[in-house]
Amino acid sequence: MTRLVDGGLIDRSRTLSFAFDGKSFTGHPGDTLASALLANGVRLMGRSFKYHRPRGVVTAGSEEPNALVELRTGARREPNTRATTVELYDGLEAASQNRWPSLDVDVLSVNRLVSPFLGAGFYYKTFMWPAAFWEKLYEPVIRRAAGLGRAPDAPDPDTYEKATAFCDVLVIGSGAAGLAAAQAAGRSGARVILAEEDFRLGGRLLSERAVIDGGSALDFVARAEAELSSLPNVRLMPRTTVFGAYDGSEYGAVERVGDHLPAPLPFQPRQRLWRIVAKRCVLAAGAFDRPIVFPGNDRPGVMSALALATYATRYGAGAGANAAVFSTNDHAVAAALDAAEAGLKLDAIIDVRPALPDALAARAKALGVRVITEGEVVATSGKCLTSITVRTPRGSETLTVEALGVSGGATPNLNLTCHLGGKPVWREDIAAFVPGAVPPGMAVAGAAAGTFALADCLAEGTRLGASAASDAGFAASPAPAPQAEGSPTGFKPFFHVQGKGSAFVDQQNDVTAKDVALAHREGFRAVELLKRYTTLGMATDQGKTSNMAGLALMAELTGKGIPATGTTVFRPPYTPVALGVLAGHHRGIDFKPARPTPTHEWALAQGAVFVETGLWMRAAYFPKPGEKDWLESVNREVKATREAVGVIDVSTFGKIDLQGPDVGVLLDRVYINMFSTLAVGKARYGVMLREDGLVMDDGTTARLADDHYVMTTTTANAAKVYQHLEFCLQVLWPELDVCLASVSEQWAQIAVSGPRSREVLGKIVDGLDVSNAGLPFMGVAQGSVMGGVEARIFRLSFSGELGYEIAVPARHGAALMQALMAAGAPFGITPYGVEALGVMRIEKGHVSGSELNGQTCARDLGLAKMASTKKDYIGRVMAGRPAFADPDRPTLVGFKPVDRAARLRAGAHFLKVGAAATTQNDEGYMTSTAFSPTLGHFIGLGLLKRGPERMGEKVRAYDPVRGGDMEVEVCSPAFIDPQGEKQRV
Amino acid sequence: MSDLLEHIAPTRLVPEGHYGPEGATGVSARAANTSASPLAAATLVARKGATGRLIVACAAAGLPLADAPRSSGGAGLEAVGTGPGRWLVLAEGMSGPDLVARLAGMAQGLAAITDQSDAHLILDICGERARAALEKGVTVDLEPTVFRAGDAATTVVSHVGVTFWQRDGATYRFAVGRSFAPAFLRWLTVSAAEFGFALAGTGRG
Amino acid sequence: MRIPCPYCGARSSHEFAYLGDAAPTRPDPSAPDAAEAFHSYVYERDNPAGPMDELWYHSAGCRRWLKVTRDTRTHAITAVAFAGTGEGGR
Ligand SMILES: [Zn+2]
Repeated sequence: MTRLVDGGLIDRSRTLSFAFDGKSFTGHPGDTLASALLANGVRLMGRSFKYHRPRGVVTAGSEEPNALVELRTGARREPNTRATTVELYDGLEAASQNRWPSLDVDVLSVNRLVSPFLGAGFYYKTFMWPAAFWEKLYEPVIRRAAGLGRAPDAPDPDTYEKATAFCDVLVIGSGAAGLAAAQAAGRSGARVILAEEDFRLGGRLLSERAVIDGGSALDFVARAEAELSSLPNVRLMPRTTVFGAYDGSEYGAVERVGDHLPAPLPFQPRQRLWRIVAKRCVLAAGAFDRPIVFPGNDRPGVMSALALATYATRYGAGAGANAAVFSTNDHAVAAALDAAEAGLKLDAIIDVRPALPDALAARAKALGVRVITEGEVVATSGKCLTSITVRTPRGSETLTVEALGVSGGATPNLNLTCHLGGKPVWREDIAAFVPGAVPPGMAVAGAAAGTFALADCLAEGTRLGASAASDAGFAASPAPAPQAEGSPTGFKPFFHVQGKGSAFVDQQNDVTAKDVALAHREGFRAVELLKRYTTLGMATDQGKTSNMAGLALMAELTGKGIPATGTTVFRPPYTPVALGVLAGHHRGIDFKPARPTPTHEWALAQGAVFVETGLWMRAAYFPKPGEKDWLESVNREVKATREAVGVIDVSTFGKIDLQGPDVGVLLDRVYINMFSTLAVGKARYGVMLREDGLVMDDGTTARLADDHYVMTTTTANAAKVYQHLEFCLQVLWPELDVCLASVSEQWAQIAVSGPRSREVLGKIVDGLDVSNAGLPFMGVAQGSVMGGVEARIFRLSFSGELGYEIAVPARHGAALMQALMAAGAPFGITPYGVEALGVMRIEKGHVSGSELNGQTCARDLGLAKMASTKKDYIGRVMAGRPAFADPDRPTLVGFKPVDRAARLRAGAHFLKVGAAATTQNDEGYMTSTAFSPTLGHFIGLGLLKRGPERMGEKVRAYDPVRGGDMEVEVCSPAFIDPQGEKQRV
Repeated sequence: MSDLLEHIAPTRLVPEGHYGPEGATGVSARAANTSASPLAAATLVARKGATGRLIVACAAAGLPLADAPRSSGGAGLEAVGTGPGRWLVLAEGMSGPDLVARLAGMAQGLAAITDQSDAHLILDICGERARAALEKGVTVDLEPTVFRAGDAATTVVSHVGVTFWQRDGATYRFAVGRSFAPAFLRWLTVSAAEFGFALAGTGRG
Repeated sequence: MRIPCPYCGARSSHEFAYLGDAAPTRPDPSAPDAAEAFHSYVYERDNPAGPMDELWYHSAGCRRWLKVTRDTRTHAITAVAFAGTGEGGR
């Protein structure tokens, strides 16, 4: 046990039990998994990605590269969770990753013995040849050896949600600068959001012994938190990581609502994705403690000096029975002395500088801590750290310590400033990159900006918080910044100890100083090349702590200096974001809206099988007891419709109401055929082109009154056609007086088709003349049905039979269906679904989505003769291009299998009989196929070169994907009733 | 997906009832246009260049209109701006064709009027935590100093197009396309459940 | 990204459909060079780095076509107006 005797922000009155790799431990509320493990003397927490080297925790925050664990079990198991950010709860279970059979004994750590072969560029060099070995040998072995945790093997039982928040000032980070900024902005009355990744506000103030406004840092944090909580215009968001900065002052954040609990509370999500729209932002994300690259620096027990201090002061956890610190800077020395005061047994401070400032030297002396100046750690030993070798100009010595804190200075956490393309700039005076161009509306305060002294952080936070509020329109009263004593910020730039043995630059991806040297030798010297060649900074931590060291090493090798060597920029997300929270509510049956038709419940009661078309749920077919498959049901539905009468809900078509004196003019310009001449009470089939001459949509438009038309569009294109019409009216021809309204939701529409459909309709209309004379083919009647329900009746036919479409206000849709079923019962009226509808339209040669595929012009579909030559319309000029009139263009025809028992498949390509299956010989393809119960064999529609000239010719339909290869006969696309007589009776 | 709604078909309106922790009702919603109490609705679209004259004509007939995303009431009608020169008009105790005729009389040929009485689910949402629930899908700022009584928005919520406006007090009235109403209610129910959610007027399921 | 719609106010770009450059205007279809002019109108686009007038459709809002002036390098939007007529259009 290395729990310190007292102190720390943990509740020692309560004990929590948890398990790591099946072994039981205890901790306290306020602990993280990492601090609790350290307090229990567990230093080995994982194995590395490539060499499976034993690794311990190195940080106390989300930048952690090593201590990745699988958290929870079963369906809630989450791999690659950073033990440093996991809040301890009672019953927590975690397991180490990347080890087999156990963390302690790992067979694959033999990788280390062959590490000379696993160096930089290893993958590129080793697995190039022979190609066949990749799939069978290399990849399985690599997958077994490398990689991180295991994904859970059951669906995630938890829920996630998304939310949007608006504020005047978003403050990211709640350390000294962030708290000061939030206070200054909050006091102005501005709406402030303070987002903090940790579960506790305070940042580094939680770990440091500073004096602010005459009291302790913790008192300051408590006062600030109390004040901010009391302000109604301030929203505190702990456990919230702002992971991305986006255009338009939008920020992405994840709030971990229930991650600190064994399972989320009832009715609460596990995580919530926030889109925060902020007029201004103050980034106060602090800084990372910079590692020093030295031989043996990855041994468990070696960690960041500030992390070592945080574990001692904030968590009351010793990282070892005794410790030393290897530093280059005053901040780390002060933190180490804080840790010693908190009870950590600190044996020595090894500093690379010739002397410490007097104040720090005096503190060390008072605490009995030995100071070794001009010292460098050149070696470490032990599986977990047992000793270190220190070299000074005066000689070498070995110290027996279980923990070593290392600090090479501060690397400002400027990750978010780069998300919109900003490039960090080098500041020689602090030997660090600081934010360059920042996203609009963002200001950076405190250590993230390279401002390290506590008093300066408080002042900068106050100033930037006030100016952010003032920029957002709030006059901030110039309250004084909290005051703190001056703190020493001396340092010496120092990145790399020369010496023998593996010195790690990127611990998560196992990149060593040697790998960087190799990349240099082989010419991969640009930072982006170094990154890709060695994988430096490409692990789940994205090089937060390692990039700087890698860059410094390369700068040493090239002799060009760090700013000339460059820096890698950062992209979102700042920390990994679970896919579940990005999906939010939209998964499983809520993946997208399911739109029921007005007759959905009725169809459900009839046992319909549904198919999703667009977002609509439509009946595909209505199976009857005893039918052995869908085809039998569909055949029955088609036959019943062709021989008697069938009924289908067609409410899903887009319906657009057009009113005004210029509707006819508009329609003439958007359809290839004429509509201004359409008589009132008549409907016409129309085809629309895109301006490039290809077909956009088709449908029937009816004229209800002189200045009133109603258009139908295909189900899929309803929104697109509406948008197109608005484009015409608003952008192309704003002089036209036409008003649009979508009525797709207002009207239910049901098609009744078949030779008996007139008799069925006659029974439900309120005194309307539906005879062939009273309501001829393509006629429209307005009146009422079912004793007073307003209705529009269109005599249209998609099936080719005598048919009508009856529209009623949507609430009456189900009643209309029931009335039609009752009226049609004597004729054996049969509900049919979209499968039967598809069969009947293919039998008639009507085009649909498979033919209106965005690659076909009117001529390809045999519709060119519809085009008016008396007017201009959208797409006319481009449709006149020579290529569109090329007789070699594949054109719509019908197909029958020569062997009438054979099955046709859409997607098959046409070849001349005997021609080889090459792209050069391709003559088109099959677009739609169906089994025609009317003809007793499969039929197809397709696009064939010079198709209409080739009636009766046999061609090869070749379908290599599904192994189809057969001869088919070219025929008219209208398989039945080519003259269209049935629909006119 | 949430266990809360797993057993309810996604094509069906979420049945009326209480969702979430017992004893708490932070959010309430009620369907305002049920078969028992239908609401007539129509779109009113100004003819080319006629917006100003239409506003004058309607004001004279007792219905003030703003050419803005605002709601207004008068002459027993409730009008909501949904686009330049466009309004959605609601009326209680009237049939759709009656509302169309009434508006035609007011508009004097200056507008196209289209019956939409069957096109929407009209849902009134209120409660202390209504905003907290709505911010899980509404991407418009609902802060009372920003979105005030009478303000309206046509927007998209959880992949569903809606028009909503703030009525008297803190009630938000939503007009949701009829076929999208089940999806909208599923989103609302899971979003509001943590605060305690009382849903009424959607039938017993 | 958020687009300040002149009718609806600032809205997420998810509510809008993008068309592209607002500069090309539909040529006279009866002109002798109509074929060439339409080819250019349909296919030929500049790709400027800098401010550009673009057409966006507020599909989930007021259903107005907008002319949005956006800097293609920074996505900064400097002006938004109703397309076509320069006013509400009604
Ligand atoms: Zn808009």
